[in-house]
Amino acid sequence: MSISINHVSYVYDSETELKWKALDDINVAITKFKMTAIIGKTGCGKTTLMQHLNALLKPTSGEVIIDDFVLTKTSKHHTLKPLRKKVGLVFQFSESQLFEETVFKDIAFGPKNYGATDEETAIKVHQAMQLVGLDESYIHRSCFQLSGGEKRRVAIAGILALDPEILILDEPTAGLDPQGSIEMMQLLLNLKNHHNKTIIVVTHDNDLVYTYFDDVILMDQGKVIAQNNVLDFFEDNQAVVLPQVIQFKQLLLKKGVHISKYARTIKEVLEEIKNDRIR
Amino acid sequence: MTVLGKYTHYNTLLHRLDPRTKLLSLIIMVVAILATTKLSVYLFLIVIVFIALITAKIFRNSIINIYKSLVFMGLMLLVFNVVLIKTGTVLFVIGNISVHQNAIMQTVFVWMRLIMLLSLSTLLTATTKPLDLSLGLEKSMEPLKKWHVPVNEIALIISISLRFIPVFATEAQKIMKAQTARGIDFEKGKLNEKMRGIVALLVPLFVSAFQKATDLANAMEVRGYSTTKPRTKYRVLKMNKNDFAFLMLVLLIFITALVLQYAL
Ligand SMILES: Nc1ncnc2c1ncn2[C@@H]1O[C@H](COP(=O)(O)OP(=O)(O)O)[C@@H](O)[C@H]1O
Ligand SMILES: [Mg+2]
Repeated sequence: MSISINHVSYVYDSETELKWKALDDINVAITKFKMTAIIGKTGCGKTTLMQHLNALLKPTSGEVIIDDFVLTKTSKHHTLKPLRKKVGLVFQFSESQLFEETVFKDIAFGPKNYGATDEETAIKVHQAMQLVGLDESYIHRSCFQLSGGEKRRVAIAGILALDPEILILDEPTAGLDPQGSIEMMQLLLNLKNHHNKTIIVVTHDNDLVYTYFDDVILMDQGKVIAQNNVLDFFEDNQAVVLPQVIQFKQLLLKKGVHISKYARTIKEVLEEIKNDRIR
Repeated sequence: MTVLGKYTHYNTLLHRLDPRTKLLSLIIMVVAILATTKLSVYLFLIVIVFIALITAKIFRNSIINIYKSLVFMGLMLLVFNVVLIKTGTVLFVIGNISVHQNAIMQTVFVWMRLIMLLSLSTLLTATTKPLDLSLGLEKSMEPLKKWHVPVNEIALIISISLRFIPVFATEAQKIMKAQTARGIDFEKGKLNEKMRGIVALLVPLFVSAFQKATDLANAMEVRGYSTTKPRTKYRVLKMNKNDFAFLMLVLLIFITALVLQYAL
C-alpha cells in the first residue's frame, strides 16, 4: 500500500499555442503516515502535482498510484469519486470555497455529497470541528462573519469531515500570522500522530518544514530535483534558504559548539547545550 | 475549457486584424443575419461563419460545448413552436397534435440565427485581446462625445467587464475543483447533485466578485483615476491593408446575402 507517482507529465492547454508543460517526468514515492512537504519556487508545479493526487487533474502521461487506485490519462470518470474521498484536498485560500449560511451546514456539505445520513453527518461535523479546534459555539455562526483564520479552519474541517486517509494541503499557512501557522502545524501533527493520517503539504516556509515535517520533496521547473528526509535534506542541501535553527547551529559551530542534527527547534538546541554542560 | 469571451492564443489572420475592423465586420454580419429570412441565405451565411471559425482555429476547440448549451433551448423552442404555430402543410401527427411545416422551419431559422450570432461573438472575443477590444470600442465611439455621451466611462465599464471575464472563468474553475474535492460531480452527477454544486459555485463566486470590485475601485481611487481628465494611450491602433481587404470581403458577403434574399 503506497503512494507513488511514476513518469508523470502534465501539459496545460495542450491544444493551443499557450501549451505549457507544468510537470515533466515526475517520479516520487510518498511514505504513508508521515508528513511530507513539497517545496519549490512559485510556478514550479506544486499545485499541479497535488491536484493529480486526487484526480482533479489526470496526467498527460504516466501514472499515479494510490494504494489500489491507478490514475492514468484514460481513467474512467466513475472510478474517481472513491479516490477523492480517500484523498482529501484543501486548496490554497480554501476559505474562498465556503458558501453555506452556517458553519455546520458548510462542513456537512462534503459528507452529504457522499451520501451520509443526517446522524452520521452530525457526528462527522462535530468530530471535524473538534479536530480543527472550533468549539460548539461556532455551529450556528455564519461563515462570512468569521476571521480569515477561522474560515480556513472551517474549510479544513469540511474536508476532514469526509474522513480522508490522506490529507493534502496547498499552502495552508499562507496569510496566517506566526501563531496561526504554528497552530496549523500542531493540528496537522495531531492528525498524523493520533489519527493515522498521511499528510502532504505544499509550503514555502522552510522553518516550519524543518521543525514539523518528516520528508521533503523539492521541485523546480516541473521536475523533482531532490527528495529526502528532513534532517538529511537540510544537512546536504545548500541551495535552499536554510531554516533559522540550522543557521543558528552553524553559528554555534563556528564558536566550537557542536549540536547534533536531531535538534530541530531552538528549544531542543538549548536543551542539548544544557545537557552537555551537565555532563 | 474554452469559455465564451476567453481569448485564444493563436496567430491567425483574424487574430491580427485591428479590433475596429472586427467590430465593424461583426455589426455588418449581424445586420445581414437579422435582415434575411431565406433558408438559402442562412446556409450561405452559416458556411461563411464556419469558415471564419476554422480560419481562426477556434472551431476545434470547445465551441462545440457552446453549441451543446443551445440544444436544450432549441428543444424548448421546438415544443412551443409545434404547439403554437399552425400554418403551412401538416407534416405528421403525434397523438392529437399536428406538426406543421412552419413550426419546424421557424425553429430551424431561430436556431441557425442563434448559432451564427453566438459563433460570431465568440469569434470576436476569442481573437481579440480584451484590452484591444475595449480600445477599439472606445475609438469607434469617439465621435459620440460631441453629443455628451460619456464615452470614457462606457469604455471603462466595458473594458473592466471584459478584463474580468477570464478572471472569473479561472476563479470559477478553481471553486469547481474545490467543490469537486468535496464530492460534487459537476460533469456526470445527478440533477440534484448538480444543483447543489451550482449553489456551491455561485455563492463563493459572487462573494469574490464583490470583493474584487471593491478592491479595484479602491485601487483606482487611491491612484487618482478620473474619467473626466484627458488620458493618453499606451497602445495605438493602426489599420493596414489587411484590414481594408477584410472589410471589403465582409461587405461583399453582405451584398451577396442581400442579393440572395431580395433579388433572386
Ligand atoms: N489552469 C492553468 N492553465 C494554464 N497554465 C497553468 C494553469 N495552472 C498553472 N499553470 C502553469 O503551470 C505552472 C505550474 O503552476 P502551479 O502548479 O500552480 O505552480 P506552483 O503551485 O508551484 O506555484 C505555472 O507556470 C503556471 O503558470
Ligand atoms: Mg501553488
